[in-house]
Amino acid sequence: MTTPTRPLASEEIYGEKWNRCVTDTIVKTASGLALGIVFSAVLFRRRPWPVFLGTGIGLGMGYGNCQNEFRSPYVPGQVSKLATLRGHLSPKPSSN
Amino acid sequence: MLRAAHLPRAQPAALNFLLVSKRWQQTPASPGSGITASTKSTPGSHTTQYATNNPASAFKTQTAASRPSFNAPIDRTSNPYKTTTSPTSTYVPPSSQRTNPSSGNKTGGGAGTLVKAIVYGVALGVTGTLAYAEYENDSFRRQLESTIPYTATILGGIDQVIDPVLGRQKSITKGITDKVPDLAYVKDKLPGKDQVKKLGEQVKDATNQVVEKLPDKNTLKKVGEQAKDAVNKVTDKITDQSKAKGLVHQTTDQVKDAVNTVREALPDTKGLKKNLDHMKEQIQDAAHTVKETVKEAVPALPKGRSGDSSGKLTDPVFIEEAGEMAVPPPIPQDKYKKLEEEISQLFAPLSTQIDEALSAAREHISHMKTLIDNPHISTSDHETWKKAEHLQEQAKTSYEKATDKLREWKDKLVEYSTATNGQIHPEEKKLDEKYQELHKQYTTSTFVKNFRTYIDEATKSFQKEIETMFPSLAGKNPTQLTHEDLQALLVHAHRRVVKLQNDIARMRINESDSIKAGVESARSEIDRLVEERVQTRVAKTTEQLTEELKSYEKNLRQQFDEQLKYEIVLQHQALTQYLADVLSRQYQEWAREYEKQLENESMKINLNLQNQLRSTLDRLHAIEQAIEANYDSQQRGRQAQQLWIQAQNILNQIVHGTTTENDLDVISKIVPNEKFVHILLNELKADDSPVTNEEMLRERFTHVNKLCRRVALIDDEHNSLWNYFLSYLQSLLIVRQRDDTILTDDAIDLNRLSTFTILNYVQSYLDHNQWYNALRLMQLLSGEPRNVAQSWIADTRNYLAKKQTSELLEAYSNSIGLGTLPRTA
Repeated sequence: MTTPTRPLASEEIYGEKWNRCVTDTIVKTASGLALGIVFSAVLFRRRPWPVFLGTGIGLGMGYGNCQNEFRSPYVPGQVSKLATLRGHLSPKPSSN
Repeated sequence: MLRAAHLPRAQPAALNFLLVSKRWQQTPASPGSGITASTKSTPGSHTTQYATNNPASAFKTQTAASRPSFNAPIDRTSNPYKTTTSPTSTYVPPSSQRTNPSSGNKTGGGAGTLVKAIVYGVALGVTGTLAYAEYENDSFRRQLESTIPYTATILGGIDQVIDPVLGRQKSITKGITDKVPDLAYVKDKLPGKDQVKKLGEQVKDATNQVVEKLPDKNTLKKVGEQAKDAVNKVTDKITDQSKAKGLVHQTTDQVKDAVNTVREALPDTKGLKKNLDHMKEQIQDAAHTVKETVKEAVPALPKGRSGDSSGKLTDPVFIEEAGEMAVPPPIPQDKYKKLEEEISQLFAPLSTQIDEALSAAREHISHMKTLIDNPHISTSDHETWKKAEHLQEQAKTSYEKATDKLREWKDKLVEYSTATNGQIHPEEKKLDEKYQELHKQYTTSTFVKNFRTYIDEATKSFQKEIETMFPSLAGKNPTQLTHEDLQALLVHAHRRVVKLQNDIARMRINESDSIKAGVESARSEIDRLVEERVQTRVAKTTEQLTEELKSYEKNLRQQFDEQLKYEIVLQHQALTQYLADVLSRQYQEWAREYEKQLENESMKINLNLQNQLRSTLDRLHAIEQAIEANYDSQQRGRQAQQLWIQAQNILNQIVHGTTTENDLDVISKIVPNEKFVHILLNELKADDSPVTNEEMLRERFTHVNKLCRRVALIDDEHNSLWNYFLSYLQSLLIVRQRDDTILTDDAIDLNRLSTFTILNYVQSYLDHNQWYNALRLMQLLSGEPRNVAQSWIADTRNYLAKKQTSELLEAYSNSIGLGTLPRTA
């Protein structure tokens, strides 16, 4: 097991990115869904379209974020801030 | 060695160029083709490909070895070598292109080339001969210079250039000419035969002049006539007087005296001698002048001083001025000066005496003249007669004195003349004249003094006559004479007078004849005498002169001979000196040469000895060192063993586990003195990379492999999520395989590299434990797979570096150990 102070290996960053990406998308979708449900329930008289909109928005945002993250310039050994934050939230093989 | 089997996608121009270069490079040997192959790759290839090519190209050399050795340094050093070959290879083709167009013009200028060929041939021949002549510098050169006119100047000019360059100097012995120095100059200075002849003629002319100057017959004739006049005068005096026989006797005596005077008035022996002396003096003057002229004409001989000879003979080729002629010793001047003084002292009193005598004589003569002229003087007039006698005595004494003095004077003169070689005192002439006059006058006076005696005699004879004839009358006085006596006397006197007259007439007739005859005889005698004397004198003088001339000639000839001898001696000296010089120079040259040789030899021997000494000393040192080294080596061997053990330990740890500080410190304890080990240890210690070992890297590689396959399609442009999905899909579809062909055939087709192929190659490399190749290939990844594999690559690099250093350590320990092994011949 590696310590968090050790810089990440390049192959692991890929994994890390994917983790972040997926979690982020899930979170965004879920939150979009939730918001959609809320909105549809509250504002739009239980029509289904805010739900789909919300999920779509969430998916899209997640997708975009994911894509952006993958497109970011690759610096081996550097750990992104988000990754460190997310590192605390989700257990990673690299942390602790 | 890795080669590019196919060209990368390059530009078409470069492709053409490469085709051409390929055609050219097919002719050299195949080992060069490897280099050219890599140069082919240089024009269009990327720097990364180039970098990877060259390390890959060095691979093949070490495939035989189990361990890859120092590749990294070779990479760097091989690059410049590769870059330098490319310019050389590029240099060749343009020349090939250039020759092609020129070959096309050959058919056009056939005649022009012939002319060119001829010109070149001639020029070549000329330069060849000149060069050979210059080089040979002996007979051929001389031949050339003698036959062809301007070669001497050309070769001289070339000499001036070449001699300093080559250091060719004409040796001193060659520089001195072979010819003997010119003697013409000296020969000119010697007097020629013409000059000698001329001088002889000059001398002869002088003698002729002198001979002419002798009293010739004309003057003698003149003097004879003078004598004759004197005689005539005397006879006139006689004819005026009608005296008796005594007078005739007187006259005859007078004639005799006149003859004497004539004889003496003529240039007497003394006078003649004087004259001849005078002439001799003149001759000598002439001879002297001749001598002078000869002196001027003939070059003077050099003075025979020893100090001068070396200075004048330094230059043996030319003999400069000659010295002066050998001069006869100068006349002892003081002697004749004294004589001259004495003579001049004597002159004055002598001249006065002579004058006195002269005046006395003159007086006497005048008195006698008066007596003679005066018919009335009788014998009884004692006074006048006494006076006359007195005067005559005076004259005689003064004359005798004068003659005595004169004799003295003459002696002195003779002495003087002998002392001064014939120079005559200037006052001699005056005195001579005076003396002559004196003599004349004295003779007349002596002649005249007898007048009285004649008169006395005449009267006495007359008286006797009367007594004998008329004895009776003798005793009587003149008053007692009778008429008959007187008549008898008168008759006697008449008879006597007639007789006397007849006598006188006869005498007159005879006198002139007798006088003439006497004069003639005297003259003839004088002539004869004079002639004789003259002839003798002439003969003598000519003899003398000829003798003198001969002697002079001989003298001159002797002088000339001496001079010639002297000159010859000089020349001989000069030549000998010249020879001595030449010899000495040669000797010096040779001595120098031999000395040089000797020095060289001695130096060689010296150096030889030194070398030997040095070699033995070196051997001794070497032996000592060997012994020490042996000891050292043994110690080092021990150390090496330990080092090796430890190094192995470290290596194992690196490969399989982790290293600790302790291990490294142990090593530093083992070998505290090795700098190399320290450096390596520092390197190992300073390695900050995360500790990995081989296993971990392999595991990581599998992971990396998988990931790289998954993101194979992603690069800078195509990096959306959709592409990610597509690449994932592709990775699922492409079959994993391991490409083992790379192990046998090193050629990588650079155009057909892709992530999958690379990864396949690398997998096969790793499976065969060829980490360096694997690393090299991994570096060919591009795009996202590269990013993914980056840290693996870095880690692998570090790991390999560490491994290399530890291997180096081990190898070093091996080397030490090997160094300590006993040497085998």
